[in-house]
Amino acid sequence: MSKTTALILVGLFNLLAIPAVVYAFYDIFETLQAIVRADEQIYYDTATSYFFLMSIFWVFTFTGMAGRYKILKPVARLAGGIIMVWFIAGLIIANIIPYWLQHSLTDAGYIACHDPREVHRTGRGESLIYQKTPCP
Amino acid sequence: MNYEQKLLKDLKKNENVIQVLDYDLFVKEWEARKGTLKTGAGFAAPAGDSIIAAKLLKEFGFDAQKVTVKTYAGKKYVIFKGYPGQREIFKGTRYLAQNPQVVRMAVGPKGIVSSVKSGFVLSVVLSVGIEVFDYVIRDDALLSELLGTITSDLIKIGLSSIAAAVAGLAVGSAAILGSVAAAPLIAAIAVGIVTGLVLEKIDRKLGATSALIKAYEKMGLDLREMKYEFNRNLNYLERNPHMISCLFGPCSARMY
Repeated sequence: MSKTTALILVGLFNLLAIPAVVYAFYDIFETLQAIVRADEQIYYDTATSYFFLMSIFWVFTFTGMAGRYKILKPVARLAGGIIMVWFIAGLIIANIIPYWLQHSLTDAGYIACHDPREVHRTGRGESLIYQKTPCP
Repeated sequence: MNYEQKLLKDLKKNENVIQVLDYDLFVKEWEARKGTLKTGAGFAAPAGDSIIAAKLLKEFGFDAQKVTVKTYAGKKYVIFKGYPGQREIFKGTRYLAQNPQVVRMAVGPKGIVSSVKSGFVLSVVLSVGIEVFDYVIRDDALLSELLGTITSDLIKIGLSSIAAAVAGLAVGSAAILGSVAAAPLIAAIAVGIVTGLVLEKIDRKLGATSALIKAYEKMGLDLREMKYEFNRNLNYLERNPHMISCLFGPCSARMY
């Protein structure tokens, strides 16, 4: 892959990371709001927080750019560590947030039911419908 | 030794312990744990890659600008900077991109592609294995369901692996970013996971897996219909052998 193509793709991933991270925040906000509003049904996907991982591309770009400025050279020297710490933090956040939100939902008196729209899931997480009434 | 003691001794000699598990209980237990197993299967490949990324960090430390990929005489080389003596795995300074050690540690373009490929194979094997086991033990499982879910799995895992490979290669090829040894692998893990999630959301929204299951069901019905028609025509020819010649050209045989 040529360097130009690589930089274009990295730029594209940086842009894609914006809606991904915004969506992860929006999902948390929306779920908390639904609890406050005491909605009858709250849709929650336990894997949505993994969208935070896309922010790693911002760190790649930042540490890459840091190498160009003398004042930020120490940052560039520690790029490997910064990237790894950010990634691990992202993974921890992606696992803690669903745990916390699910607890908040059950504490508010909601019961977790399987989302019937999800016929099959390949990997991480589960799509749930939280409701006050027992599962059908 | 009296007769009773002898009998007891003989019985103990041939003693076999049989654990009997209620089938319904087993299926119930399996259904309760299937989700966890599937989640575990989904984590297997990224977890393996994360271990390699951690090894790379240990090998090269936090300092960037340690790895570069350069082409000499048409061959790609991975060049490691710094003190080779401080490293445990890469004791040399220059390796061919196809070097098994380099590929195993997911360094360089070949290494990234190889890592994504092995992740794809591992995910497919685990995912398909779980689905097949589920099909085997459940009485109410349908073949169309199994085929539908496996097809959906293969598409999702395949697409997320392609996206992961593209991200890994892009980060690895970008001038400064590629110098952090673990960066391409981390990019591949992050993009692979997120693409998988996006595909799950699309599947849920559009009902792709349900559509696949229905398509397989219909295909099964069509095949049954074809088999029925074939048998009917065969029976007809058995009853009217003089019509066989009609299969190979125009004929004027009377039908009975």
